[in-house]
Amino acid sequence: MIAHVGILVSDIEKSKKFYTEALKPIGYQMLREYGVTPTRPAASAGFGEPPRADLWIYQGTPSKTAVHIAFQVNTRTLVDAFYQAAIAAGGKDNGKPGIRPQYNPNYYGAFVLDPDGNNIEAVCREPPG
Amino acid sequence: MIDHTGVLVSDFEKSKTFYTEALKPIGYQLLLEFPASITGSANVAGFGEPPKPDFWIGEGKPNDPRMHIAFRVGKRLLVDAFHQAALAAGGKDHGVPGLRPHYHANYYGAFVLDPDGHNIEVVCHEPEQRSGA
Repeated sequence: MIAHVGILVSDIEKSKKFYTEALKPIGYQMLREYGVTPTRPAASAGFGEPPRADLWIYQGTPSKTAVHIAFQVNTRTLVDAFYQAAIAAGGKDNGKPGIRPQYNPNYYGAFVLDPDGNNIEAVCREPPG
Repeated sequence: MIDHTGVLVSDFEKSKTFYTEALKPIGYQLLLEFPASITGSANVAGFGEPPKPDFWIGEGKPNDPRMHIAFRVGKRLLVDAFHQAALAAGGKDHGVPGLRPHYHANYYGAFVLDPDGHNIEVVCHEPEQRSGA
């Protein structure tokens, strides 16, 4: 399974706030924060469901092509809540909550662009109920 | 938890072969492919532990700067096996298997650059297992 993934962000303070708010509905928190140290060349922050951080953001030059990261949730309501929170936190709509039947009949996802244009998704693969 | 993520690769067929071989020791397989006509953007291929892919490669201009993605395993031997397989498949060493105690005491990882330079890691967070354990 994926242990962690890291992305570069242009304004780490702005992105810390964005991810804190956008991912709160799906149980994520900012779990770690580091400044620049001999083994850490850039300021960073780690987000995840406690205790383990699996999304890391680093101060730097963001990818010119958007990175895509999706988070798994178990109910469609949480997909909706992620979408609303991410838009409220300053994200841009990149696909409203709904079924994507081309992936599978119960693929319910929503897509939001983060402050640097990275494509962040929450997806529920469970049938409604 | 992360459901899926991925990287953009310049040579789709080459990277399919690379990831098939490099991730085989950790139980990953090429599980699903979608053409650009379905995704609306690019041809994509999904790798994972069956049945669900969680790592996707998409055909296109590689992410710049390159991505860093790490996969978690339960044994240090699997970190070693990944590193060997990935180098044999044409990856470039980016950090030999070993402890990274500045992350935490049992952080045992290895790093390989894929054909486009994406930084792929396999990490074991468990203490060393005794022989026979």
